[in-house]
Amino acid sequence: MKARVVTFVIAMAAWLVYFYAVDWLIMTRQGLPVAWNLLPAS
Amino acid sequence: MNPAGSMRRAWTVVFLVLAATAAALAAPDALAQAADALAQPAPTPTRADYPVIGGLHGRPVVWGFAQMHLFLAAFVLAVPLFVVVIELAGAVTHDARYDVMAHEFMKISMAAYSFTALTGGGLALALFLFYPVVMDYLLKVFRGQALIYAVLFVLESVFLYLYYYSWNALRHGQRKWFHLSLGLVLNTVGLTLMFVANAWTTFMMSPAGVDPATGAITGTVWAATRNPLWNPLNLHRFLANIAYGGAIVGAYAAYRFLSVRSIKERAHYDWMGYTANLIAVAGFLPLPFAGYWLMAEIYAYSQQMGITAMGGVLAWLFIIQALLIGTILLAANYYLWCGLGRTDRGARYAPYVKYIAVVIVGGFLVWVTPHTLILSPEEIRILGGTSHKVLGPLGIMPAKNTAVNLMLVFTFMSFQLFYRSGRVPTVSWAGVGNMVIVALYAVGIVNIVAAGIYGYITPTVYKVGASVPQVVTTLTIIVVSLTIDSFMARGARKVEVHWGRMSTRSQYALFVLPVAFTWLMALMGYIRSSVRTHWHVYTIMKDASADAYIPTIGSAGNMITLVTLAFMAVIVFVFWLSQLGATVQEAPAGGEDRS
Repeated sequence: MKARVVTFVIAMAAWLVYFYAVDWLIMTRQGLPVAWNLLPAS
Repeated sequence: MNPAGSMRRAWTVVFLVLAATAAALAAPDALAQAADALAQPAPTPTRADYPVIGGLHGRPVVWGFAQMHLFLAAFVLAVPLFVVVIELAGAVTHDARYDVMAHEFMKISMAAYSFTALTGGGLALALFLFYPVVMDYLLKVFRGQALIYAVLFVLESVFLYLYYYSWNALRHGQRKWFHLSLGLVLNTVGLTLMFVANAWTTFMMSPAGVDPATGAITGTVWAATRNPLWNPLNLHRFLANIAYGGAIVGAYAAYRFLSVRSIKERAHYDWMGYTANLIAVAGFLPLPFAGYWLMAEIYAYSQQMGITAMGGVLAWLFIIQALLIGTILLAANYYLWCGLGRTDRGARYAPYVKYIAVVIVGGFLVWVTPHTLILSPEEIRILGGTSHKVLGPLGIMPAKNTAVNLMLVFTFMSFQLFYRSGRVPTVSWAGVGNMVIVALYAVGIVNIVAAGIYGYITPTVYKVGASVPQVVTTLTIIVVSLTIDSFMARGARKVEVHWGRMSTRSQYALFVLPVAFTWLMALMGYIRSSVRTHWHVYTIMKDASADAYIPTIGSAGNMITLVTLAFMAVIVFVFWLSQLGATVQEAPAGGEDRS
């Protein structure tokens, strides 16, 4: 069970990095601003 | 002769046909008329150039024939595409069931073929009768291509009949591979036929190879063929045809499932229905992305045309489109959920169905939420504006894109649950594999929602671009899950699938699919054609007929429904014919009656 949880957490982290990289690539290629630049300055 | 050699020869034939077709598409210039005829500007027809025959105007006649021809042609061209794949599966696995099913799929499409030719002939006749000036110009632009279309049509008929009637003669061993090659050639010809017709349609929307000011022909036939919207429409129709063909043969399987009595036959038609639904869903899942590309290209070609389609009166039809697509997804999912009952192991996945249902229904509701309503002043006062305070934001594209991507992801999940209900993986890394897939779904869904939120906060010009990561995420989930599952299935313990253990109710979901698809195709065809507004050839040749306006939604709805009903009548007849062909009358008791 513990091994599964560890695998799940690692897989989650890996997919997060993967999707973030892909999103960043797609956004910048299209000339879109990255997300945090759009958030209102506080 | 070995299989590899046979396949090599088959591919050589396919390559030669492709090369000949490509040469043929580019070569009609050789059949060109005199250069001065081409240099003349596009004709400017007057009202007198549009004959009214027996009180009939051209538009409803051409509309009806064109739509019927498109329904039938989409079906007839699509079936051999997946039949070849099923036949190949049978040849590779040596499982005769695939072969029997593939042959039966072809039998249905054969009965529809003559109707396709009839409506095609009717359409051509109606076009030349009612729109002679337009046809004269189009024939000039495309020069000899119409003749090539005719040759391709003859080839399509020859290979279709060869493929179908040689099925049992070329059933085993090396001959099977020869038969598969015939199927490949048939599909090559069929697809080319569709691509040529698509070129004529898209030329009228985004003309190329002609002078933009006068319409005089300046380029080659290839330039006119390869106009900006040609390939987006080619891809869209290719995928849609597969989904449509799958949906229609699925309805046939359901019809047979409900009408046969023996357990063996019920099992066969249940399996056939499952396969057909799978084909329909497989063709349907990438379809919104192809539609998106087509629409993006329409905007890129002419913003005005894009706004006519999605920002004006026609925008309301996209709400109806959402309703129909939601219906299709709900029906396909419902059928898959019922399918979990085919295995004893399927029950363990049943608790997840309600969560999938919540997402599908939720996505459906978001998708059908309009942004700006057509309201009376009193209604605007009560509502406090033209859009609802709370629900209004669900009407814009980021919400729709998020909803549709989640619906597609969860539809795929329904399929994956059924796939898994029939196998118990035995590989040592099955636990790890499952966790990777679950993590992929979890992060992927978060990413789709996050990109949706990004779409809200980003300036309007970036909203469309923000949907690209969502599409990529959906496709990643599907492709990676399928890949991991296929490796995990190696050496898996098979769980017995009780084909035929399906409720009668589930079969009605298979009837919903072709009806919704047909109506949807007619609806979207009306939009695609209407975006030209009062032009025959957009910005080149004006429509001077009495029908030079976008038909109202109400009258278009009547027309669309009428054509859909007519097509359904043809399909019921085709199903009946297919069943009739397999019926053998028993000899009367006491020998042949000689009286």
